[in-house]
Amino acid sequence: MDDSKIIELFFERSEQAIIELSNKYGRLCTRVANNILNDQQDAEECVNDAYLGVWNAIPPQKPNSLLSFVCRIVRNLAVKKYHFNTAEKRNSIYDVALDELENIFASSVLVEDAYNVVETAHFIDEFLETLDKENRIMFVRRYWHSDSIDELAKLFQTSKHNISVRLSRTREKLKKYLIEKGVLL
Amino acid sequence: MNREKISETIEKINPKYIEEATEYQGKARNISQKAWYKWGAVAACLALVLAVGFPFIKNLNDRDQSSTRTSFSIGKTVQTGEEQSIAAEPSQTASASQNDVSKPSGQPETNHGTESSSANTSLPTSASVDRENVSFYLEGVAELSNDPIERTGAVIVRDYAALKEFDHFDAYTDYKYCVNGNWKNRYAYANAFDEDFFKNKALIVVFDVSPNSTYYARPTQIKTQGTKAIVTVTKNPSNGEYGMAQVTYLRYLISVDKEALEGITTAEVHKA
Repeated sequence: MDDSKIIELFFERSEQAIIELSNKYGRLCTRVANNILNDQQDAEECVNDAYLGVWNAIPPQKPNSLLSFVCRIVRNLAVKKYHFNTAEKRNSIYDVALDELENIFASSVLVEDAYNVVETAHFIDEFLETLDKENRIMFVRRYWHSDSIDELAKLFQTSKHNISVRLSRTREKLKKYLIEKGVLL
Repeated sequence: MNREKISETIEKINPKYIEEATEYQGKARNISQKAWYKWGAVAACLALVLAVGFPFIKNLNDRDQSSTRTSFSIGKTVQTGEEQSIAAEPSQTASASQNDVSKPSGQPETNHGTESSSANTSLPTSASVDRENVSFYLEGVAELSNDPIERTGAVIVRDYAALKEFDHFDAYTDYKYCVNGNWKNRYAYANAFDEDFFKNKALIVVFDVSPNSTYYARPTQIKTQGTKAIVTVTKNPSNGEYGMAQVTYLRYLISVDKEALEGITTAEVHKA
């Protein structure tokens, strides 16, 4: 079913909207959640919570991209659940992806007083704009969706080594960019 | 910056990038490219096989055409097919049990055929050999053998049980067979004949032994002369003799009407 029709169902408050949403994007949402939580049951709970979140959000919201909208809710809930569950069990793909990013920020000092999370995110947006489409997608899939290297290799039809090298270069570029912008010292 | 803040920062990147990445379906271009590589590799392999195999097959064919040395014929008028028959050769006998191999006598071939309207016609060339009467023939694949002796022989098989008991029957099932120009799988031979076949037909089995590429017997031919069918085989190039050792290489299976072979023993399949 077309996204716009699913959104219409939400506006009509039809429960069929949840079924259609689940049929169309359920698998993808579960994967996003599972990448972060590394637990299928938690991931499914998270996705169900996300459906409720979508139900409550639409209306009044009318997202341009239903997929992106749902994924963001799923990710937010998954990250919250992750922090709630444990900070010690670091064994998910999400942890590995975070570790990679942490290396950038840990090696430099973030001017936290000057730049809050939203502003830093804005600089990252600007940085992403400088990347070519493929590297940008790869970066987002890795650090937002928490896709594994293996999944990315399949998605981009290349080797895992190639993915790792390209991500590493992108991180280095990001680090330089943030230093240039004065976000990192 | 701690992990939570990093996560939170990444979470707040522009939705358009998230959307772009979420909806990305992969590189279709590379998939087709990979498919091209795959099929290209298959084509290259095929070309290599043809390049290597064609001269080999051609060589075998050439040898088939060039190395006739002597012949066997069947010692009675027999019907080998709808169009041709085999002439009687009653004078040359050496009693032996069925499935024995004839001992070539060195006698010249003679034509006593009387039943066919095509009697006394000239010997056709190998190109005109009626392959319909050659039910099976093997080529191209030979079992490796250390046996340096090369022999060629023939035997009449009249029933299915005899065929199954025929020496190395099972071994033949390991090869590919060329049936009237069409390659069959390795089990074609075993599956080609059953008890029903032998109700009216018998087989003349012509075989080689020691199919070493250096030593294996020169290819055979089947010619017709009037009502006579001549199965041509070769002698051992190393010792110039005929005989039988270990049967390892089947040359021809010729189906004939069983009625026509009545009274003929294997020993009467002899050197013409």
